[in-house]
Amino acid sequence: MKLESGRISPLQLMFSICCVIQSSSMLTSFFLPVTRQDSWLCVLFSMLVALPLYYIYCALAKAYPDKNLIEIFETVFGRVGGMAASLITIWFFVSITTYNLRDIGLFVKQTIMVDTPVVVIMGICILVCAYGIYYGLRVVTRYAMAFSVLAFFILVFSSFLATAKWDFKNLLPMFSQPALHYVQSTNIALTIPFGESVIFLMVTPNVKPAKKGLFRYFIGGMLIGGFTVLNVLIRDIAVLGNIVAMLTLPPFQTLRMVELTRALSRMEIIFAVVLIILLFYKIMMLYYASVLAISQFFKLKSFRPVIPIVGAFCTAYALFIHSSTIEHAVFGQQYAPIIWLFCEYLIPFVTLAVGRLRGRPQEAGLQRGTI
Amino acid sequence: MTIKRAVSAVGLLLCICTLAGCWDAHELDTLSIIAGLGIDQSNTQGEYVFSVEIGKAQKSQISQNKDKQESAFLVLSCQSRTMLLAFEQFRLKNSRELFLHPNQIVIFGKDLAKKGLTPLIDMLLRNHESRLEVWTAVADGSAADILNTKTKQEPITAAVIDRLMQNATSISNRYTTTVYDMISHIEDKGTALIMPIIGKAEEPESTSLQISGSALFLHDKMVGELSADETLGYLFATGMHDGLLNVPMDDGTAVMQISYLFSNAKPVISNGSVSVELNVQALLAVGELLGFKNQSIVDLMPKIREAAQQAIIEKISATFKKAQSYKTDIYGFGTMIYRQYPQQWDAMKDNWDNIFSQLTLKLSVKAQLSNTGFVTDSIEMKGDKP
Repeated sequence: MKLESGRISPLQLMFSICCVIQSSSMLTSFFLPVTRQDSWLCVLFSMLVALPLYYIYCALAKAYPDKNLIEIFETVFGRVGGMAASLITIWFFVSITTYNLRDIGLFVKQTIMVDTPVVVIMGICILVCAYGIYYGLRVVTRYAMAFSVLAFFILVFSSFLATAKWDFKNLLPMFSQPALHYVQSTNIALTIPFGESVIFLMVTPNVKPAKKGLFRYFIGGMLIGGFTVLNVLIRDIAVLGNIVAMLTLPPFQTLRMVELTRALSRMEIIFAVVLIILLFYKIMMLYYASVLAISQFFKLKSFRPVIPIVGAFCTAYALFIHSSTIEHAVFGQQYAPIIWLFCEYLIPFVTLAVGRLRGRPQEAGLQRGTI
Repeated sequence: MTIKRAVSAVGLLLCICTLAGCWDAHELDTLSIIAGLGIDQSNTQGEYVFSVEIGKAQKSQISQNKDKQESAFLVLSCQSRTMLLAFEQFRLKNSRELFLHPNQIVIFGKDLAKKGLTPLIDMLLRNHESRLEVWTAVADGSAADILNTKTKQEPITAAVIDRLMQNATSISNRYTTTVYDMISHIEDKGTALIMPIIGKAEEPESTSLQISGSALFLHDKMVGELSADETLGYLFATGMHDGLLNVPMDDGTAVMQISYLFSNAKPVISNGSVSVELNVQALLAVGELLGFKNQSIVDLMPKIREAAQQAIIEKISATFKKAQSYKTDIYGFGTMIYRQYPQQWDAMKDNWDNIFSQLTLKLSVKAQLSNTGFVTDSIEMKGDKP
């Protein structure tokens, strides 16, 4: 019996991927201290490296069209191997839900509601997400297109407002840092926004068949989302110059400096609103994937009873996961990109490879056709 | 259906109660809005004197007339080791909560600027109420004294300084500095910080504030000053969008309006020596002519153009020599080298101040005269009437 019966269009999938990537505009401070003015190049590199990653995801979706990621693990690795891979993946999904919940809580507390306890902000966010998830995938993804298009135009428009402060010379010199720094930054940019798209393998069985395959929708989402992040990053480096790497929220500070005549200033609120919308969407998507994965793992008849348990766990976990923002930043910069790589790249790759080696031509995507 | 409606109503009520952000409510009548922040060196080692200018709530017109002598602002001062500790002291001695967000200016006392600004910039960068686009300036004397000045220009001193800064920015962006510029230049080994100096101008019946020149910084310490005229030499080298150029000549004086002045600096490294090619292009319009008796405008224009070019060269050269004497690369030539020759920059960045003081400037100025305003020849130029 299927846990989720609702079906979404490939276009909704594309905009969902796009929203998840766009919401990472805030997390540029993870790699800005590493590659400074060249960080935008690393986002470009990571988009290139994401191509084979998305190929793997789409090949898995194609090979197992009626199965979500947890079911695929069981099919490919058997009961014990499948359980191990599923547990790692569930831990990963819950962790990234928690981290993003913490991000939205800290962002709102740091910038808008300074005196409000962070637990209230996170609690309200998770409550609204739980309400959306309760009604299933169609409700979760309904506003993806509106959110991503709105975010794209607002972020591009805000960059246009900041043009008076752009100094493209701040992007120079290029390629002046050690090669290892570029590898590290590319890895951070790959794992934190782009690799997180692995969660969509939980919903691919519920996507209506696309004539030319899902790959173009994955890439479409990545390109719109990636170029939004790129636009924000180039704007921040061009406006903030050498201090961009010192700041924890460069996009927020950039828009704080924008002044369109004396009367029209304090544009940072635009970014805050867009970011809250995008992060809310991302958390809802991650929360949904976590709930679905856990329900699948325990072979439940419905995912709904799990919603409050996972929500409460993530809120509590987000409060205590790191004692400070420094610890959070260090984890995001040094540890997460390595651990996440394992869950986002290695496990799906091994699953695809083992699936193909086991010789299930119908299921392993060896048939002729479009990925 | 009724139950559903009841649940929805309770849900909506819960939303109203929980989403209103009551924790962060700031009522206007409970706030002291900071208009300006001044920081001076204290007599006690390692401490500073912090002063905040707070705009007072305006009374009605009738009561204002009764108390004409009452000031529109209040300046609070306290001595502390750090800015945040000072704000804590203000909190205990002020009936209202201090609100830094609308602050217009951070002004540093001259003595403090000479000792270094680095210890003071952390809170300006870290605090959520502090903004990077706030003006910064050095006081010609003490910052508290400048903030306490009652002028006839505006009721609040910080508003006067804000207007002065806006006027100066309309001449050139390089004329003024913000918290962002200050931090960026202190961090940058290739560009020295230059900050406007705000001083008092005593007039027969009142006092006004003015930008009296610029302070030159080596890293974070003020090491010298440029007069208003020398500051103009710096602006000629870095670009302007407005302003005037006084061109004294043998038989008269031409005051030229600058339509735009564009400068392009190119650092050149050859055989280990560094030079900078600076090309300046200016589009000028005749603003005012004095003298030049019996001369025609047609003959005069090429002479004025030559003299204007010479005046720009002289001003740029004089300011450049002064900046070199203080080893302060206010032009950002070092940053240009870093961007163009990053590997060579690595070798010279620690000694850049000394390299800059020996740097050769190859200057080329081209001026164009665009128009003469509403008249061609002045009345004085026409000479004796028939």
